[in-house]
Amino acid sequence: MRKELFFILIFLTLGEGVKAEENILEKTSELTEEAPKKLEISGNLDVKYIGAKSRKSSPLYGLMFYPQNNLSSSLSQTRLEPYLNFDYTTKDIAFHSKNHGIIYGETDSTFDILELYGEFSPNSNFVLSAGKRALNWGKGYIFNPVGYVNPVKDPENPELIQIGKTALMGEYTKTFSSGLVQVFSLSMMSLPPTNKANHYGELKETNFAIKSYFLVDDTDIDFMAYSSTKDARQYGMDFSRNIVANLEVHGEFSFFENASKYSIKATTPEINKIKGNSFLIGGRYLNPSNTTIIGEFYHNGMGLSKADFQNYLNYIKNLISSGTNQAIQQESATSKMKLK
Amino acid sequence: MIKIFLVNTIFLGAILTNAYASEVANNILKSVDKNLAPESYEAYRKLINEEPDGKKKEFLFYTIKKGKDKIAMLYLEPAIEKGRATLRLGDNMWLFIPNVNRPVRITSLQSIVGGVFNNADIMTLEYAVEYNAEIESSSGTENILNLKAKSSTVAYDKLKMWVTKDTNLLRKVECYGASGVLIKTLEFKEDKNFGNGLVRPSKIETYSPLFKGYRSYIIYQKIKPKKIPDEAFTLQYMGKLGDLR
Repeated sequence: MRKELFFILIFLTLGEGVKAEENILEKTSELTEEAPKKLEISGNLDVKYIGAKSRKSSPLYGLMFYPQNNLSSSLSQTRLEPYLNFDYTTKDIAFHSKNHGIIYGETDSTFDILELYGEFSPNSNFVLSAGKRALNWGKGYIFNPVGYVNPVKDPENPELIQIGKTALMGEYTKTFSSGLVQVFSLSMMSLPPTNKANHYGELKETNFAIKSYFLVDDTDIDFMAYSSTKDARQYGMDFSRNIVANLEVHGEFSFFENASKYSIKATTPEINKIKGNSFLIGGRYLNPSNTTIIGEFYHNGMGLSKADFQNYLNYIKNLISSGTNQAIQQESATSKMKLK
Repeated sequence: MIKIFLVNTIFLGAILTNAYASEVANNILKSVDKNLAPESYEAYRKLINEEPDGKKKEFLFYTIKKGKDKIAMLYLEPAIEKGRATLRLGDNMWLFIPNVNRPVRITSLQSIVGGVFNNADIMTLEYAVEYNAEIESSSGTENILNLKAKSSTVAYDKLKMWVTKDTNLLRKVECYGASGVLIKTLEFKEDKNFGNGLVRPSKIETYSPLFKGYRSYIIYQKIKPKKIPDEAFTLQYMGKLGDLR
């Protein structure tokens, strides 16, 4: 298993926009007036140096660095990660694009569109958006059992934005000046089928997700559901509340069925469809010296048991010692998904 | 019988006097709130954190406020913080970071900008919403009020407040924790006419015995009454606060 000892981030702010903002203190535009068109270009460059101390006897080390098994246990990596964002906003229409690259060397680099979507907002209550968005459902910091539409997080930096999902989404928000509910919001979205052939998917395999939000008695509460004919069908809720001035508590509870669980039976990988639940409870505490401590307990009902994981490690070990080159590389590419 | 009547009368008199004094103090507090800002407004504010070695860090915020318990703030500068937003609805506070794409709850005692100001200082609601007041003393030019928090989620348990007698303008606030320890002092300086009949201190300076040598300042550059929809003060709108400018 790879253990990353440390990494250094250097943030360089490249640009802060070309919008008409010469003297913001002189701007007096009213809400009812036609807001000026705005184009902003922004970005930053992360320079990362990673030092890794690894246990060479781990089967996952063998899989990760196959076929270069002559590497030492102490490794380093340097990479550049440029981010470039474009935002165009008018009174009721907006376009957003977030782009990210990873540059390991002059001939080894990747480029991702993290987000690319348009929004139409005829009033402050309603927003319709279409495109690729990195949504972030749930209240947990590192894990989100109810993050049905979230991209997979980077375990090294869980708050870092990842590649979003393409969706058509409508969101309605209403506030109330009296009564128990202070704010209500409803989001509905459709996501294209995950299985595609020649860029087409089955219409009946279109996925749907819905989330309702309530601010009730100073507590954030969400109810959400994800409907799919191929993937897991899931429904759940989350909450977050400040108990006192320096303590927040949060939780997520999710129930699922038709979820894919990867495991090794005898010496062969197999996929079983299961149902169960996942949950997370956590808190955020600010101590007197101004340090914030976050603690979370997470149960993943789709995860592997200790015995399952040991079987998987044995399978990897056998694969590396006796498998074909193609089988090993295929396993290497998909191992991340199976371990999720 | 007469004795009992006299005792009851004195007791009732004491209660009524107390209630009247409390009403006067709370009316002064409401007047202080009214003199600080219009009911619904937008403002541009600069925040400066100064460290003991003279280093300074500056932020520029676009702020909107409506009614007694709604305030939202958008970071305009520095560039690396641009697009961040904070929202406060009563005792609830959230922080939105564009790259995280999700508002997270924060607490009033946290400081999202470092320095001496905490979140409650930067996103102040009307004092009368969070505190009950009593008059401690009255000098020639100033009233000194003692304020007690209405709930445990308020950042400071007690405040001691200096208010000008003739104009009900804020001059100084001392903030105390539940243990009675002085946490920080806020001084309100440099009265400025912001137009639309609003004359208020334009500079707030704070220092704390817990952060020796550190000072922080908020400088109001512009305050203007503005009609703002209630939905602008929701989690769903935090990423779009800039549209209101």
